[in-house]
Amino acid sequence: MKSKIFHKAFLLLTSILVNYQSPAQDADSYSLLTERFVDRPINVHRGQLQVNTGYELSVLNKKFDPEGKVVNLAKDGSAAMQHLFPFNIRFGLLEHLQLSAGINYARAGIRERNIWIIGYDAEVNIDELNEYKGLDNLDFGLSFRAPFGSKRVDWTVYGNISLPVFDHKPDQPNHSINTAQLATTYTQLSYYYRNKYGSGIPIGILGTSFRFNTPGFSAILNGNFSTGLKEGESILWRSNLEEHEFRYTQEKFSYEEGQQVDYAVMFAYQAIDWFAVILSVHGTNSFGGWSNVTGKKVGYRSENLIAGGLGYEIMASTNLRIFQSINIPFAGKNTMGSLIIHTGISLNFISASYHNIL
Amino acid sequence: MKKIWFQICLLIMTGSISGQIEEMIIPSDLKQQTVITEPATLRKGFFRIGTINSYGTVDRIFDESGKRTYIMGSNGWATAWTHEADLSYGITDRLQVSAQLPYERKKTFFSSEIILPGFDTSQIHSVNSKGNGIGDISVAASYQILKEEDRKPSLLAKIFLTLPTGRKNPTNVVNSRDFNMPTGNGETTIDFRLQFRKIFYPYSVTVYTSYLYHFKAKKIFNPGEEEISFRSGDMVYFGSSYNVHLNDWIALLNEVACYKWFDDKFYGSTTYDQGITGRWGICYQPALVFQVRRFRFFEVIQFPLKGKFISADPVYTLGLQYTL
Repeated sequence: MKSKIFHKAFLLLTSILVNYQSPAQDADSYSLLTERFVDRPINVHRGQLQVNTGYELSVLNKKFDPEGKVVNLAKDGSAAMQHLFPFNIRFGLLEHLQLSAGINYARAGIRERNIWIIGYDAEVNIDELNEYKGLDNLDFGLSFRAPFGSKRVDWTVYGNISLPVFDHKPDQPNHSINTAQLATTYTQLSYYYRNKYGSGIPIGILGTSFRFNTPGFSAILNGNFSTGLKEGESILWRSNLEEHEFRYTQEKFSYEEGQQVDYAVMFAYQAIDWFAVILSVHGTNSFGGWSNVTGKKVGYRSENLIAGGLGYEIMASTNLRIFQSINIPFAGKNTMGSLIIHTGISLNFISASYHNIL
Repeated sequence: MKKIWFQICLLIMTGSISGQIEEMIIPSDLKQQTVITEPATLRKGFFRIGTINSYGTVDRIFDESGKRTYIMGSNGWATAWTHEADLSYGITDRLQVSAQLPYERKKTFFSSEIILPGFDTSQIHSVNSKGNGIGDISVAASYQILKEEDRKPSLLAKIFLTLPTGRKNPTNVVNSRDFNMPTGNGETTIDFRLQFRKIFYPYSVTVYTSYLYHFKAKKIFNPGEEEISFRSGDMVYFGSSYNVHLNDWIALLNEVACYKWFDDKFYGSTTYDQGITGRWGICYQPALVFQVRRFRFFEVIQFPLKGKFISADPVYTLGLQYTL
């Protein structure tokens, strides 16, 4: 009985989404592609293909401790940079149904404070680098847009699944040792760990966005919840120094990703038809999750971060939009804060026949 | 007879019409030309002022085998800002002079936990070295040997002279890590550049080569050392850029440059001399240039792609110029 009701409701919803004629469907492709930022819906239009890519530089020079106090990572000896290249595609299957797929490639090297042991006739200097490199999970998304039929109010509900299609286990470390006979015997020990970005487990995301447009302004609210969908397994590399050579062994351990709540508020001001200024505040709260990497099952510390951003979007041509933003973390607990400079381009195309025919 | 007069009148009218078109190209319009459409040098009497700001860090290098790798052995973290005042003036339609006045802001951080087992003690030691001040000032002259015509490219010759006006030696030395860093290189250089450019509106293509010559100079490389003579290795550049107008006022520039960097020579003893030889590099440099009336805003990211014994970190540059 329940499945019949669900089946009928699903058919009714599909019928509304397919047959509903929104104001956008009366417009021609040129008008849709050159829509001002404050006139756009949250999703792309029916038949619209959007390809987004760019470059994001993050300067990891700040950390928030458990009390929320700021620690200067440069002074602490562990500042780092992350280079990220995002890639994301969105397609409007219907005016109210959007498909998306995305993946990021990134690289970062996080150093630790040196340890310098000074004895009477020997010195040992130890440095450590944790490199993170590679592709993260492949993300697929589906976003439903409520058929309000108004350009002023828009509401979407979306679900994403982030799949671990690439290997997430760390590569064998590449530690090194060098010894020199100076006034004392000087030994440089360099620990070089090679980690990856993939989570190793599928992650489910459920979220919603609300947008309110006026002729000059837009306000966008977004919130989502993500959680690991199963327990994961990875490896820990251990090393022994035997006669000036490192020998490596690996140990398996299990972990479970915690849950995460992300939220964002964005205000956009359309200064000129082709230029919009965007102010945003976004936050992340993560909690739960555990790992037995130490041999005992230990829960992760909860983390939270609030950051503010200022950016702009330029409509350079019918098909090309350029956007750029700078994000600064201003509050948090138990987490790193990065200054992020994001430069992106968005290529947009609409199949006129698909837009009108379907 | 009437017909002849009528034809003469028509000819005169046509002449006056073309004259009116000439009149329409007024200097204020010419000052709004984009990086793609403007001539290779500033027109006579045009004056361009601006500021150029670059940001970079020291994190990775291309090692001896050309592999991009992290700088190991230390947790040192360095950042550098350069703020430049940029001035250019067109003496004639073919000859331009320019000057760059830089201000440097450098920071280096080191942090170590020093453990002394003999004394059963340990302490955290953090050092933050800075280098703020005027950098090395440059002056340049550019001359259009060939002016661009319908079928011919322009050919530009440029001489770029850099003078050692910045502080060349470390000051306020406390120890080998705690001191005020130099803000100049302490050497005079001359860069000679030849550049071809052809406009195929909305595109343009540039091909160039340059040779950077370093004069012999003297400075202290590391705190605690004596001043020694040295001559930095010269550099040969080959580069090309493919530029396109995304619309009437935004241009995307794509430049690829490769360079060979000859070996440095040291006439004395310094730990800076690591015996590095055979340096070379290839960089990709995309730039977005926005032309809003007489204002020009540009943004450049330089990505080192390949190389040997050179920095592998990107450099961000932001600039704003105005043509008077």
